[in-house]
Amino acid sequence: MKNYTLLDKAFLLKRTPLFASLELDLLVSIADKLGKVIFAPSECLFAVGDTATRLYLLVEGKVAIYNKDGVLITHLTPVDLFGEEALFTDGLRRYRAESEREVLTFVLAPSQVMTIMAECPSVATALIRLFAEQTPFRPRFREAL
Amino acid sequence: MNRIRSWFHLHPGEGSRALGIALLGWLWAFATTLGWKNGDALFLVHVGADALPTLYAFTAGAMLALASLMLWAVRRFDIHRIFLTILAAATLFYTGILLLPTQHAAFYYILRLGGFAFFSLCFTSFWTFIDQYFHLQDAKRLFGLFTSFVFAGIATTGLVMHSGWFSFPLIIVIILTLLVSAGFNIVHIVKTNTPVHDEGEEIGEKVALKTLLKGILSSNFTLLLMLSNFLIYLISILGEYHYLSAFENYFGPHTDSLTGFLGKCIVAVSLSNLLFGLFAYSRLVRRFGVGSLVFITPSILLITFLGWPWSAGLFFPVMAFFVAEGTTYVIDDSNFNLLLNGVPSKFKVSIRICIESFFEPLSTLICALLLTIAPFAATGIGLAFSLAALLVGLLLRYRYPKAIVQNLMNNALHFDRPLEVWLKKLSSKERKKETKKCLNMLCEGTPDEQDMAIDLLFALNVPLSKWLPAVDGASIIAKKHLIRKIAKSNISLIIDHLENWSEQHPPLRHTISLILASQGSVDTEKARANLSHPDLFRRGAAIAQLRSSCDELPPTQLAENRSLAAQHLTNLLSEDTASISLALDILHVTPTAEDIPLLLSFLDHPHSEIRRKAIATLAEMSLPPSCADKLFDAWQRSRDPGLRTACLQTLGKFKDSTLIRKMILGAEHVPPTEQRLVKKIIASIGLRGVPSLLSITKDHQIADRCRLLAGCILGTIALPQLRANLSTVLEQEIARAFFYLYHYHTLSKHYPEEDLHLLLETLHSGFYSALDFIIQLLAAAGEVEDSATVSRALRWGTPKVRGQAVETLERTCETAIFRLLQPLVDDRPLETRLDAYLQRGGRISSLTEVLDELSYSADLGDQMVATTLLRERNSPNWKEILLRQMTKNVELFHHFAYELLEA
Repeated sequence: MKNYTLLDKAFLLKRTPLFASLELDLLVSIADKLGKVIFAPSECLFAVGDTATRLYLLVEGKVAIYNKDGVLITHLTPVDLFGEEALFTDGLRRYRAESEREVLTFVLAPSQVMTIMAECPSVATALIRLFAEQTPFRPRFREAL
Repeated sequence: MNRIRSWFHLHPGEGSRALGIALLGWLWAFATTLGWKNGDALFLVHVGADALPTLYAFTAGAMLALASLMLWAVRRFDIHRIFLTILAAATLFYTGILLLPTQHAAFYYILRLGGFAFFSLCFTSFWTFIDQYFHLQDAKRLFGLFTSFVFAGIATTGLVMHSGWFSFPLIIVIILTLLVSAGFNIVHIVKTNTPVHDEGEEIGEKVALKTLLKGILSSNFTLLLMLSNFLIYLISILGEYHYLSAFENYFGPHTDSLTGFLGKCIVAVSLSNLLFGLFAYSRLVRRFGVGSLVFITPSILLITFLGWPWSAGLFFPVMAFFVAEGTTYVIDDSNFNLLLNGVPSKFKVSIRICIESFFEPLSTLICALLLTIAPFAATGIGLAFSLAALLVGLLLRYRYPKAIVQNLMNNALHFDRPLEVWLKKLSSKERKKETKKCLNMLCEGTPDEQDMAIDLLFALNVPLSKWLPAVDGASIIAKKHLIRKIAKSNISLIIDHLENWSEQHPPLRHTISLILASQGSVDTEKARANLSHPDLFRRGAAIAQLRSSCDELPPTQLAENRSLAAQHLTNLLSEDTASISLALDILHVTPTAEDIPLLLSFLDHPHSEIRRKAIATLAEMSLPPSCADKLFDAWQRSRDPGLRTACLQTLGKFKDSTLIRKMILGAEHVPPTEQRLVKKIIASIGLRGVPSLLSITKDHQIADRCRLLAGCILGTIALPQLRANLSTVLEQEIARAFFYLYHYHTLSKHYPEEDLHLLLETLHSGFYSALDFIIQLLAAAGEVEDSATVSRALRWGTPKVRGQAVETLERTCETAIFRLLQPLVDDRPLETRLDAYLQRGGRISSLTEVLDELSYSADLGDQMVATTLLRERNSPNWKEILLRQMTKNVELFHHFAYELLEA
């Protein structure tokens, strides 16, 4: 697997929707905190009910996402971010992520994600936008109706 | 029950967990030392003391190999799996021992070696295993208790062996039972406890050996800690050699007297270790700090080795015995567990293994060597090592608070660190590689990446000539970015390329022609002719050219050119937005002092691009102080981050101390990046700003965020003044934080019928606001480089990071203040925190009293909620309160007040 320098990581972050609006110096600060985690083929990155301790940035390889019934939902490819949802809810994973081949990920801890959002409102906005795009109709509205 | 808890520093509900872990300490320590000490005894009986050097050599070799294996394992597996594996291996080993024939000397070698190795591995695994469940503040309370139980396990071994009731096979059965019980206990602890990780551990990154070595070498504190432990090991072994020799000389052939005396010493040291660990260590460490306890062992040893040559009695040998069997276990081992929090958290486990597994056999070997070569100089060597250990201890004490802060900083995100600082860390080879990557990016990257590559090439100080050809192939956005970056300074460097670029990308033509005109690169006559050209940008370029007509022209022609340019510029400024925008571009490339009022007037323009262009030009000019008010208003009114930053930067150029109060009050609701800029600007004013800053920090009628900002700036420019006023400010703030905390948790119990949701939210955020103020101010007064990091660590950090933040505060602020603050920042049960409020004389307020108190708060939110709720509860004086608030507050509050009155 390729050895990523601090600046490579900053460039990678720039390619993600969450961090695309950030300036280079901010990206480098975040890149400095990225941890590198490698998974073997068919390794479970996390399972349903696991405690969420990381936000993942897929750098190399392919990750399959399964719902709690074991049904394949989607495949993730490089520069996809995943695993952030649980950081804002009850802290438990609601889907399973499994590597399809050898996978290289960069990860951030929840407290780091919170700090980034506090310092860079554009990241928080991007995250809200991402969530909003995936939530066409909110359940509580339906209940109210 | 409460008294027992307080003896052992246990929080409510913590007893069973602490007992489970303490029991684990007792089980493994009893099991492994029973095997080890029996192995010792059997070795001496069946093989003899003469073979001890060979055994030590084998032990040292085996331990070095096992430590390497352990280092490899911790980078791959969870520590509880490693611990369980070690216990399982020990179980297999002792089962094998039961079955092996005992007539060969090899059996006793294996028994002794295995016994020691399992003790050593379990020791390291145990502390690494339990360390994941406790942060630094917990460790200070509880590790003394756990050490005592480990010591109790070792003492139980002594009792069992002393009793002589058990045969060897029965002892092995006891060991196996204890090991299996320890295994079950580990599984139970893992199932019932959640580890508290720091960020590094949560990320779960594996540390490569090269990174580990680099990390150790780059951390002075780690090197000192390793050296200190190594020296303590060395002098303990030297001390052991000395006291054994002294006892032998004193008692001569009277073996019974010697045994009896040793027995008494062992009982005394065991008892004192147990009592010290249970009741004294935690108290001492909390009272004086771990840094002060590192001197105890080296000091006693120094006195011992100094006095030894002058005394033939047993006083000094007994002192050495107490060090080797006592203080090194209960003080130095416990100190080590706490000091380990100062090493970079990524390497903590590996460093523990290095110290605990490599250093002991290594120091044994070195001592053996020294004593063989120069037995006559043993006291001198001991004295020298003790002195060295004392000096290292001094350095450790000095370095420890800095190391904790450094760890905190390492975990934090450094948004305020400029790109150049990051790039400084690169070697020249790495810089070359990055430059090459940037050049590739300019050809193949996305427009965003090309922009970043250009920024990076500038930051890397790569000469423009080396990478300018690569920009030819880049996108129009990248070219615009480059032109913007160098338009003011070095446009001549790219002038040859501009023509090509303008042909390549027609939309770039206008920008380029304007720049070229401002450089005087267009013929003046042609420019005059173009003044009436139908194309707006040609006209613009002509105006720019005439405004920048060179001084070598005859004065009349120069004046005529400039007058013509001014006339056409005024025309442009009175047209549509596109023309105004172009006019501002012209002013940007050819700025003059006369244009300042004109530019200031555009700060109010409804179009954001116009406002941005006006401020961009103003930011690059030298402005008179009279412009400050206009710029300040523009900063306050604008919602455009770029414009706001430019306004601030321009305001910063005045270095005017009369602006301090206004800027700080204006910065109440700005984002962190802008606050940092305000901080930097005011700090640059220097000591002239101190009186204003002090008065803001002390003023309770000003919002917390503003006072905090003032306090943090004071910490940077006038630390003594801040410190001199700290206690007065903080005591009141601590009382306020307690008030919020107590009533947040108790009001709903006292008023179950009321809907207090809004009030509770207000109290909750008020508590964090007060706490944030206190912590950041303390951090600023404690010379912590980035006080916001400590605050963020306490609010969002993992328990381990929070523990380090509390330790930083403890080390940097006055003891009296820290004692007051501790219940607010420590991870302790709620009841204890609420009790602390009452113990310090806090009053239980009724709902109306709480609302009254909030109505006097400096926070706008507090005031609004208080008045709204007072009105809802039909309080007779709510209108008076509202009127009082209206006299002091901003326009926003007035809107709220009128709405409330009309509702």
